[in-house]
Parts: sequence; C-alpha cells; structure tokens
Amino acid sequence: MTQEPTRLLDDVSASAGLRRDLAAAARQRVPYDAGAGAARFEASLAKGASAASSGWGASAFGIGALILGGLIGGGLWLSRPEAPAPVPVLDSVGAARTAVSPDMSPETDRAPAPRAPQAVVQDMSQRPVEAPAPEEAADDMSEKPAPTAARGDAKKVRAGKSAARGAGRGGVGSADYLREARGLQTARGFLGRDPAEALSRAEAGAAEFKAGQFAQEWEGVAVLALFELNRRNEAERRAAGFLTRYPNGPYAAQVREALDRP
Amino acid sequence: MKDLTDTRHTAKRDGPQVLDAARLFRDHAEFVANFAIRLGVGRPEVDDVVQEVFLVAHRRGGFVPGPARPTTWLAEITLRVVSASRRKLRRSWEDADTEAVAAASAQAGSSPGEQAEASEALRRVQQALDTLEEGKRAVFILFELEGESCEAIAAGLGIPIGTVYSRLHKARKQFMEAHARLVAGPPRPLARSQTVTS
Repeated sequence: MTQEPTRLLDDVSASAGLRRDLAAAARQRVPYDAGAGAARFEASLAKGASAASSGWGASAFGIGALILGGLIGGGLWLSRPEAPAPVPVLDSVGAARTAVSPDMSPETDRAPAPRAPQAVVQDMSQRPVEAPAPEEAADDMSEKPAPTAARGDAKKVRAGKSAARGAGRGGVGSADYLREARGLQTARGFLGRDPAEALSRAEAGAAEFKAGQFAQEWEGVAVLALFELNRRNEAERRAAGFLTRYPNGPYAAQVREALDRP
Repeated sequence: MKDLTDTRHTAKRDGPQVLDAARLFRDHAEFVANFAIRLGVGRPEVDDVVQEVFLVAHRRGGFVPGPARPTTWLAEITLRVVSASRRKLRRSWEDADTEAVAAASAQAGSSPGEQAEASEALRRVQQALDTLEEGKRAVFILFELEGESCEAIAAGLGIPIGTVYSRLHKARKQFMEAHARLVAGPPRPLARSQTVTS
C-alpha cells in the first residue's frame, strides 16, 4: 500500500512562503450563513417533501416504472429521427432548471422519450410529476430568510399541489426548526458589532431550543461573543469544551482562531 | 448541532446508518460553500450552489457510510454542480476569486496590515488554484487544504487511488510553479470588489 504523501503544509522542503500561504488558505473559512441556508434548504424540502423525500418505497416503484418505461420507450426512442433537445428539469421543489449534470438529468416524465435508466434512476421517482403553477406557492414566500436567498428561491418555490401537501406535513417541527434557524441568524448577526447582544441571544436561544438542531451553533456564537467581550477566562474554558465536543464543526475553525489570538 | 446518532436525521436502510441531506447540510454546508469558492464560484452564486448540492444529496438518498467521508462524497457532487453551472454562468464568475478574497480579508487578521497580508496570501493561493484543471484542483483542495486522505478522496470522487496520487502530483507541480511566479511578480493592485467590500 502506498504511503500517504506529506502535505505541502508540513513539507519542510517546500518554500516557507508557499507553506505560509497554504496555511493561511487552509485556516481560512469564508463564512457561510448556515442558519439562513438551512432555513432555505429546509423550506425547499418541506415544499417538495412529497416529491423529493417520499422515501425508499417510492424509489423502488420509480425504478420498476423506469425499467418498464425504458423497455417500451427504448424502441420508440431508437425509431426517432434525432435525439430530443435537453429540456428544463424540475428539482426537488419543482423549480425549472436547465439540465446540467447526471443528477439533474432531463425529466423523463416530461421528455418525449425515456433515457437510459442508469442516468436517471436517482431522480426519476423523486420529482414532482406535474409542472407547478407559479402562484400556488406565493404564500410561502415569507419563509425566505434573506433577500439573497430570494433570488434563487424565486425559481425554486413554485411548488405544485404535492409540494403544498408536503409543507403541510412539515408541521410544528419544521416551524420550530425555521424559527430556531432565524433566531440563530439574528444572534450571529450581532457578532462583531454588539457581542453582548449576541451572547444574550445565543444563551437564550440555547435555552429555548434545548432539543433543537443548532446546539453547536448557539454555543459557537456564545463562545465567539465571549472572546469579543474580552471575557477571556470564560471564553477559553467554554472554547475548550466546545472544541472537545465539536472538533470539526462549522464553528471550530473560528473558535480556534479566537483562541490563537493574543 | 446534534450528534450523528440522532435518529431524527439518520435513516436505517438495510443496516448502515444513512445520513440524510438535512443532517448533512447542518454538518457540512460550510465545507461545501468553501469548497465551491475554492473551485472558483463567485460569492453571489455560492448559496445557490450549496442549495443545489444538498438537493442532489437529498435525491441520492443521503450519505451511506463507507470508504468515502461525507465531505468527499459532497465534494464529488459539488464538483459536478460547479462544473455544470460554470458552463452556464461563466460570465458571472469572472470575478469570483477577487470577491472570495475580499470576503476573506474582511474577517482575517485584526490589524489592517495583517488583513492585507492575509488577503495577499489568499489571493496567491486562489490564483494558483485557477491554473489547475478542475479534477486536479478538486484533489489538491481536498488533500492540501481540507486535510482529507487520498483514500477518502478516491472513494468520494469515485476514482482509483492511483488517479488521486497522479492528479495530486501534477497539481502540486503546477500549483507550486504558479505560486512561485506570483510571489516573484509585481504586487497586483486591489480589485475594485475588494475596496468596496472590505
């Protein structure tokens, strides 16, 4: 078995400048607003739940239907004078997209002829069957967490009847999750300008959502806020506990950076 | 974020615990965002790419533990999404690197001098990455910057481990040459996006 190569970062034969630059890049984490992103993603799943997350049984049905369709349609396809042009595909929330990858392969139930089963098997059973009416999802637009998300979601939220049923199934759990994500986003927003408020909101959020999904994020915001407030001892103590529990979490790099700062 | 054993976000399917897309999102959205930026995606498009990646992960039924790690598995999806989107959106990604660097410099170092230094380092790395073809670039990023093992990269990207070694070797050579040129060259003036956002 070949030995794992030494990383350039750790390779003393590499130039110091190169290693320094790579170290800076490796440490660097461009912040991604996980709270807002998660809220948007969860909303997408909820809206497209019946189509996009209908479970493994639907997959099995889809595969069977696909094979049958492939057998029947294959002959038709071969008899066609030329291959059909790519058509927009529907993602899990029913938004029209241009086919760009195997996972976003053309929607066969809308295409004039079936495709090769292997190319579409993952998506076939999970997409909405009918094209959605744009106005049907209008009441869900308020769920979008930020204007930047709205741009992308403008396409994505056009969910059909099945999506509406999916949103209904989201129920209290989804609402709590979204509320928690929004609260976290707000708390995080105070970092760098009002750390006391960020800390207060993070502590309150962690207490309110004890069984929530963002325990790590609440604590991460609290730890970073403590550093910003220069409450060094408490910050270091909680940072140590945080890094033990979440050594590779999304806030770990920022917490390590805060610890390293003099 | 809760422990991976949280059954609300794992699905049992013939034995192995499947991590569903929501669980993956919470654990790895930031990784995907940063990986996409390092692949050259512009800041305005990052969130759309992240959303797309996890929707694909969702359609695939989540991550089944195996030789790949969730990160390398998501990296393969990201690479596909980015590659396909790049063809569509090439024009809007022209300034991707400077925007990423600007965002990075805004949060790096505490003094203006440190920020400028960090910004320069990140710019050099990003520009050197730009010289790499996508497949090599992905392997280089995952190994050198994300600290993934070659085995996990091979399993995640679905390529033989020998190919990982080969791509890494070529990528390193190319990256080091490009980096050396950037270090030797005259300092580049700040891009407009940097001065506006940082």
